[in-house]
Amino acid sequence: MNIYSFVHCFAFWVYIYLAGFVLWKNPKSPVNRSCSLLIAVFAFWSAAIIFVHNVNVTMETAWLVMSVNSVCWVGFAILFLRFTVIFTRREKLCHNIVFNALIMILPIIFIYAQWNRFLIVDFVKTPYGWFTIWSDSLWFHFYSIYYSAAMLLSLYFMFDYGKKSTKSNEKKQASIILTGTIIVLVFGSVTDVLLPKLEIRTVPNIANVIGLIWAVGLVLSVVKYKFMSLTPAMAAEDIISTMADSLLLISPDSNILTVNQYTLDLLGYRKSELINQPVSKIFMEPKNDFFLKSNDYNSLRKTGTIRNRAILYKTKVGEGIPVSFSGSVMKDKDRNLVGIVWIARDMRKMKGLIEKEKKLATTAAITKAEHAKAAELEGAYNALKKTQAILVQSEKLRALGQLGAGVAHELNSPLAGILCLMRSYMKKKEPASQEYEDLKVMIEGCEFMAKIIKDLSEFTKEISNKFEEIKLEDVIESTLILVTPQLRKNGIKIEKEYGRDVPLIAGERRQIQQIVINMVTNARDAMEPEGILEISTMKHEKDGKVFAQMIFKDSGSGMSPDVKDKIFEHFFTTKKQECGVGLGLAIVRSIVENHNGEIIVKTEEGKGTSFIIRLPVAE
Amino acid sequence: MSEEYVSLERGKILIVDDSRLALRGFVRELQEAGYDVYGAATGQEAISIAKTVNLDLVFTDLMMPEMSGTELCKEMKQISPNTEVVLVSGYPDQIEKFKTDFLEAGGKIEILRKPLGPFELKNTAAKILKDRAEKKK
Repeated sequence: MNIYSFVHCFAFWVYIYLAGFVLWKNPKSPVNRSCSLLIAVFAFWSAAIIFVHNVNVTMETAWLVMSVNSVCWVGFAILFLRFTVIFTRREKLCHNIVFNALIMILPIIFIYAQWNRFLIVDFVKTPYGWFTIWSDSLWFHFYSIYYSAAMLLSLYFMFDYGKKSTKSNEKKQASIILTGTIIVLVFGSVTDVLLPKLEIRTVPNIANVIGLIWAVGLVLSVVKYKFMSLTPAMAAEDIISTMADSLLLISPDSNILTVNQYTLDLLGYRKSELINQPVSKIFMEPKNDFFLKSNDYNSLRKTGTIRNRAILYKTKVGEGIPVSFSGSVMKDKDRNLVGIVWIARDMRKMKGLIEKEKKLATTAAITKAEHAKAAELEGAYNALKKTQAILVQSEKLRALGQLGAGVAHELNSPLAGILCLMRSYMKKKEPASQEYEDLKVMIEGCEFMAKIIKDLSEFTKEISNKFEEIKLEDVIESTLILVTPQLRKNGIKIEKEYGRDVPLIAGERRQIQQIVINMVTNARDAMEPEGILEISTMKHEKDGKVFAQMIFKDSGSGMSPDVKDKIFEHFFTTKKQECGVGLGLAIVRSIVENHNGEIIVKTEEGKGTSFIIRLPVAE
Repeated sequence: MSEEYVSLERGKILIVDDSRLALRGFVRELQEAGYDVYGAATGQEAISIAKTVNLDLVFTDLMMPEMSGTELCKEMKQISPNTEVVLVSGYPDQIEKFKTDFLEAGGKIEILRKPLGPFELKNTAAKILKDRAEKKK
């Protein structure tokens, strides 16, 4: 065995490995299968050359080997074409009868020709083994045309695929395969066809060895194809350009840095008309800076994210488009704001889709699958309607609350006067007298009214949203100082456990304080004397987001599922009348929502209740 | 309220409130604490009193017909710059909103929110008058 047959032997095993590898990666994929077959054929082509490039082999053996192997070296061109067609997803061609017949018949003709020794006509002995002499007949010219046509067509398909694809990884694949194939074709043509034709016999057939580069490229392309499309970083560009939602990147000074094609199509602008323009240009608001001064925008900048809020886009012609948007801020490693990523969905699309599907559902000839789909959409539609009803309801309640608060404020002044006068009279009465007791009860009544007014006005108060970095532990401690005397009076003990790594939150101190007051008062009213209120803080991570968490756990009697469902409703209370009016938890919830946090209730009848409050960390 | 201030001198205090009931209540509370107390239901009334009496302290409502608490505060400061003007209001939202204007007009930051707790009004009055007396010395 000389160096050439050794090299081919090595190449053979590498090809076999590659063919196996690509098949093993995804045995069911047609791309992987045809790639594996192609490389296997290449492997056996190399195997034949192990024998031919061997001085100890007789000429008869060389003939036999090359003729049997014609299946490989003739078939290769057509298999490569077949692989390209599958890889580039030319499905029409794949199922075309003429094409399939051609790629079956043509190789058979040339294999037949080789068996009759029309293609390779002779072998010449050289120091490295047998050298192939090709025919000069028409057969050889036909064979050359067949071979070139198959290869050029493959190259064209691959080039076309790379050019038309919008995905960066597909472009990369096409260019890897193209480059590899061209290198091998050029070298192979020189060493295996051109040199023999020119009767230069010093260089043996080494195309198969150079082919290693090509085969490795091919396998990488096919195997990586799958991984690449799954890697977020690789796919990000594709997602942005093909996504059917509006995406904006907004600079810290609220200018548009970039927009995707969908946004441009939606609004009817050209890219240059939006880049570096104030973002308010695309909003349908009475004042230009309305949105930038809104609570949504501020809370986005303060807390880092905002989800599913509604706003009106304004198209170039001034038409309004309702969208549901979400946003998140990007910061550099020094935590400076570098930009805001903004995604919005056209809500008309949603509505249109639902209506279309509903129409579809009413026609008679629909399949079961479509029924199921319609039912799913119907469900979504109903959920949407329900949400809308809740929104309307809460809007009504808000209006009612504001009205109520307005009326309540009007009551403040007379109430203040009554209280002052009654206190003055009470002082003049004997403490044990009936008048003294009457006045005392009247004063308590007035104070109760005052408390309702105060709760109401807290509830409807415009939230200032001056967010700052807050350590939950500090707020809890400073608030407990205020309420501890009350708890002591009720014989309630507090057990505290503050986590060490609890992050700071972005919040409004007074509101967070209100949460603590309401939670503690609530727990107090839920417990008998000797009750224990456990207050703890800890770090909480969920879906990659970090929260600071407070838990208020009481040893009260717990709640029935019925009660649990209602506790956040306004004016719902199970307390005795003098304890509260049923706004405490509603206030807590609205504060938590304003901070983009969440509140969870865990309760078991007879075993007490835990309120878990999670607030997003300060960026 | 932890401790009760006792008035050291008979300060002259004016209360301005468009609610007759509130006015009467506040006047009573401060009278019983030993102050010379005047009451006014409108800004105009308040100004005419200020022109004849050398007032130490004015408690005023914020929202009143004809003249707002902030305007009254400005006028008061023109008539007698040494009179302290303190805001008493039932509207926490508006207290927040007008706070800066009121302070600019020379008002006191001691803002009382109606309805007041027991002793709140007279304690505040005593405290302000005491501070004022110390400042004079």
